[in-house]
Amino acid sequence: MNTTTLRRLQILALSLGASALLACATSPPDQLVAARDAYRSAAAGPASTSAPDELQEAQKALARAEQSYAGDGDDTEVTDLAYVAARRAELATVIANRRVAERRAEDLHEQRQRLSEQLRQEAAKELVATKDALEEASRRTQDATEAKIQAEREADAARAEARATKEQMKEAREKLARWAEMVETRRGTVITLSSGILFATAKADVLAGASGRLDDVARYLQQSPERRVRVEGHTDTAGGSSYNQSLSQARADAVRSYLVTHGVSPTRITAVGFGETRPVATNDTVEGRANNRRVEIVLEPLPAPVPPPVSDSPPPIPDEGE
Amino acid sequence: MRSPRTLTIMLGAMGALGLLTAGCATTLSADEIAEPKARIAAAEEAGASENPEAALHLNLANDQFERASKLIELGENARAARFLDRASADAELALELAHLDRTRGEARDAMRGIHELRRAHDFEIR
Repeated sequence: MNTTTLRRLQILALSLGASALLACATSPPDQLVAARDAYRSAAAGPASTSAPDELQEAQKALARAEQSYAGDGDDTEVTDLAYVAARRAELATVIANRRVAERRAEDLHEQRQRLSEQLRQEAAKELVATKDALEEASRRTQDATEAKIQAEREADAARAEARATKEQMKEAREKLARWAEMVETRRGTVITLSSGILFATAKADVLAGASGRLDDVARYLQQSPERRVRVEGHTDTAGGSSYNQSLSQARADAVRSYLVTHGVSPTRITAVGFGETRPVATNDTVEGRANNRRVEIVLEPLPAPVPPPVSDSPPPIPDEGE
Repeated sequence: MRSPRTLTIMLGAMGALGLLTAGCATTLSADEIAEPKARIAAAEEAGASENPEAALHLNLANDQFERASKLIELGENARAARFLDRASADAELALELAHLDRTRGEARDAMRGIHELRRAHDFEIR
């Protein structure tokens, strides 16, 4: 160190010593007043609850400043100490505010996490619900498809059955038509069987050899169970009318009996003899007479449906199979 | 600006020459000088210069530290010590102001995050 510095230090040392003898100023320095205000303000704020230790440090700093002021500390010392005290008071407030902000930030952070979790759960639930709905819809579609397939199958089966029935009817009809005369008339379907095939001369017992034919007739009649049947016996003119009447009746009964024992419901079938009263051919020729000697099995048409009665007009009289 | 080490050597020399006044503060330790400097550095690191209020106190801290250094050179250790205290106090305040700013920013971000979550959710629902 050079001489100039040394000298300067010496002067400074003396002046410091001299200034130490000066009495303290009578009115408080501005900085001390400011420090007191700063402390009051801090103590009234959030520092009292959120930064009590720091507030206490500020109070101690202020106390040191006050002590200096009350004692023989010079203005600069009081000012310096007061300055520090004021800073410490502000510090307490700032630290308090930071803690409050920290708590708030933590609270908000937790809120955000809860919200995020809640939304995640909601999304998961929605996903499950959507999945369930999709599965349900898929099941229903499947059920509907299965039902449709089932219905189609049933429809196919019904159609097949109808076809089979039709086939059966056709078969029965064709089989019958191979040897029997079948005609559609207003009376209904008329199957004409020659008496020569069914009976021996002047007899009313069904020949064994005719059973096959009558079975065909029975099968045919069974295809339309709702239609009534009338067995009619007819003869030629040979033998006398009353003889022919009873023979024709007996023969009609015999055929009816056979048919009933072979599956035709007795309630739908009747037998009547017409004797020689309804010839279909001339009785003057051999062939004509042969044609007249017959049994006609009439399958009556279904009765026309009766419409429901209307109040204004009387119900129409139903047509009963002409 | 002299390093704390240089100052300590200077002070030690001055002490040896008996030029330090016998009063409130006698010798200043290396720690007493290093402390405010460390607080100033901490405040700078915390971003005090980015916040106006914090920057103000950071500047005050630096100025007062300079003043203290000059006072030490002049041998006014007592006054220098008080200026070191002042510098420390301002540096600490600057630091805490920087922290407060950052924490408030975190709170704002958290709030914004909540708003965004809600907005995104409502948007999805619609």
